Amino acid sequence: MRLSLPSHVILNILIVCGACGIPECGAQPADSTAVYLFPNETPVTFLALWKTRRGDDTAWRSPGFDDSRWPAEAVGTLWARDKAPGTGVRWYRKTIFFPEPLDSLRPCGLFCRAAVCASELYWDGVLISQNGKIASGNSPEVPGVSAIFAVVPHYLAGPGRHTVALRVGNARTFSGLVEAPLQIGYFDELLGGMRRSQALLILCAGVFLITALFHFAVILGRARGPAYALFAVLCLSSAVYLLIDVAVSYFPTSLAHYYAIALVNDIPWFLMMALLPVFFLYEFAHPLRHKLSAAIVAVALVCIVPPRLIMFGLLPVGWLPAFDVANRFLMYAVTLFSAVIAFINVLRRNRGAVLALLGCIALFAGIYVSFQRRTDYAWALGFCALIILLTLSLARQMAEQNRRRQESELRSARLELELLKKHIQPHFLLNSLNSIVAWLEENPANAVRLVNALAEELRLMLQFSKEKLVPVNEELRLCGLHLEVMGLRRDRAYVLEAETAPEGERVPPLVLHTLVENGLTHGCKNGLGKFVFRRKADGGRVTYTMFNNREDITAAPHGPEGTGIRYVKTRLEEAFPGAWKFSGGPVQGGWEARLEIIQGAA
Amino acid sequence: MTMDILIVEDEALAARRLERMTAELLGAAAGSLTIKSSLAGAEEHLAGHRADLVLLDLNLNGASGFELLSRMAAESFHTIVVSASLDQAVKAFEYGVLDFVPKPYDRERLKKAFDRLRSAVPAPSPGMRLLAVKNLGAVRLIPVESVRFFKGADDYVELHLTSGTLELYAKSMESLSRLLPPTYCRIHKSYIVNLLDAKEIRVHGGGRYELELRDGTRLPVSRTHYQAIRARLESPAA
Repeated sequence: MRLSLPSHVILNILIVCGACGIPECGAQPADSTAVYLFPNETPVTFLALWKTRRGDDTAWRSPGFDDSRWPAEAVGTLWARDKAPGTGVRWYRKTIFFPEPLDSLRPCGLFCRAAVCASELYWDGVLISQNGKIASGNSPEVPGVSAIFAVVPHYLAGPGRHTVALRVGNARTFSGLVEAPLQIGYFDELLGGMRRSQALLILCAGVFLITALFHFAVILGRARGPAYALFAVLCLSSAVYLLIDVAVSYFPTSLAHYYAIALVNDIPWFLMMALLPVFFLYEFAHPLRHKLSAAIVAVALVCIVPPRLIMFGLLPVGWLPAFDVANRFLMYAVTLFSAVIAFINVLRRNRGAVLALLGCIALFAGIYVSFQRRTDYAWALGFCALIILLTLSLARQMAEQNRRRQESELRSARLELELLKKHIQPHFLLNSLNSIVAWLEENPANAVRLVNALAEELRLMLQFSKEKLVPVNEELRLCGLHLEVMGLRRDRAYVLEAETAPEGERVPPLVLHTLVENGLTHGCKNGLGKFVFRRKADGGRVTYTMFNNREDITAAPHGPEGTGIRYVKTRLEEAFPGAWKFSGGPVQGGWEARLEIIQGAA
Repeated sequence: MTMDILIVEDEALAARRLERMTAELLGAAAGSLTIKSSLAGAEEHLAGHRADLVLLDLNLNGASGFELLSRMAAESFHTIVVSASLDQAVKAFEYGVLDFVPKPYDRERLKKAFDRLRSAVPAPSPGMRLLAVKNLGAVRLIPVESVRFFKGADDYVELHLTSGTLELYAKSMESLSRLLPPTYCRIHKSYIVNLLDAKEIRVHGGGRYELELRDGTRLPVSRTHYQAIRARLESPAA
């Protein structure tokens, strides 16, 4: 993965043996690239700095050749140097010292990955490894494979000074890079380190893959917000990225495809880098999430595309560290950005934010360790910790959502019951029956009217009882029926003057009915009982008013009005959370209840 | 003797029917019949007029039924509740109403309520639990159990309380004896006690009888009641 070496174009074949991943340990002799090696204490050492030169000369393999005037370079930084295919051959030379004899029973070896495209490795002038075939004369170049191990013959590994020379040919591709520092050490340690690193990468890839599958399953299970989809794609990208890496190291791949694989793997890499902060923005519903996401995608593209254009010689920029700097910047930037978003939400006490922040810290630590110690798996483990913590965070939110949904279902059921209990009370029915009996004795025609009005009112109420919202005009019809019932019961005249509302405009059931009931209880004592319903739409809000004539407006509302108004407020909050206002007070000649609803809230 | 009757009912139609039926059932016994649609109206009427019976609806336009009950129960007249709020019936009897007629009702049910005015139909169990006492206009509810004995005094009843204090209850001995739970017993023209509180009955010479209560109080027992009380005290069911 993208470590400090700009040449990390991708093929990350594994490296490193855990504890000894410190490059160039040992005292530095006069030659700036020469190193002392102590394999008995430090089983594996990275060889990053080399004397290097373009061109070809058989003398350059020999230990006696004087390379003191060759420039010293870190391998992996030369990707932009040898532009255009067929630039031929580049040599790398390095002097090492074994101050003490090596363990005679443990073979010493070298591990080299992605020396593009064909290479030969010399130890004290003796060829110890050949990967592919460098073009010579009429015979064309044969590409090597992604990773090679070379054994140093025991008779050549005695104490003292040794020279390692690497000859790299790139007749087919345009850059003869060596992707990563070579590793030298006891062979068993080289293999062991590689195995450990691979195991950890596969473990991480497995975690990413399972997490991705789980979240895709969750999305299939029921529709969810964009955060889940983003997280699923993020996990899948991470899994693909690591799996390509691991596959290349498990199945040695022809270096002829080196750049093609690199470009393919840039896609999941881009998705990982861009989607992590975008996921945080959507997960915590940041108000500027759309704009910020676009900015993040732009930054990721700027960090990823131009370095590749430079690499392919499509941009006339010769700034060698561009690739490396851009990668480092991008990794730290997305991690820090995500951490800041998480931190803001920790301060806001949002659910799951603490877990997300811990995950960001883990990733940050992983990236830091990876850069410091040239380990591939440290950042992958950090990323893995982040994904696990984010999954926990999402799971907690899911549990919370479930709880809320259950609560709201329960609340709806309770409201339905309350509606039925409050509005179809036994005493309402029994009093009505009593009135029917009375009319039967006095004036049977009125008994029939009362029975019909009562039946229609009950039908409407039962129909409304399961609804969260009912059409305003239907609710007004119910109010009219209730006034007819009460008018017949009290043998008095009630009228309802109502403006009709536009089709499709809705209110919670029995809210206007409750206002009419309150008017009947507290007002309209004498003469004509008059109710006036008005509707006013003003921009995004609709205001309804229900007036009734009331003689004694000083009488404080008590008892039944209290429960009625509580019912109205509960229903409004359920249907239009936070987007309603309710008030009531005396006006000229009576009482007016006022109900404001901000449109589009339902 | 004719009765002055007050109907407290907020629905005109229901009030008219109750008035019509009452007039028919009581016939000549019904003196005046007045309808009031609110508690305030009823109290205003009662301040200036006599009433022997109040027919009361417990749901008067949102006013609390028990506010009504406690105020009405403190008066000297009998109260019959005529209401659809059946859930309040038990409480109404505790307050000492004579009957509770649930709406909708028919002629027979109302007649039964009126019959209780005249005959000693026992009050339904558990019967009256609270005695509403009016003191300087305020109504206070006294639990029946806190009364040691009841002593008749003209149109009132003296409540001799376990605390040693005395309260005046506005109903007559006859009215009260119809409302109290079955264990309460008239032992004398002027005395009612709870037989559960009786310790023993003593016979003095000359046909004088006394009942001693558990707290030592001795009350006279009239000759006419002696046999019945003795029988009740000796039977374990008493």
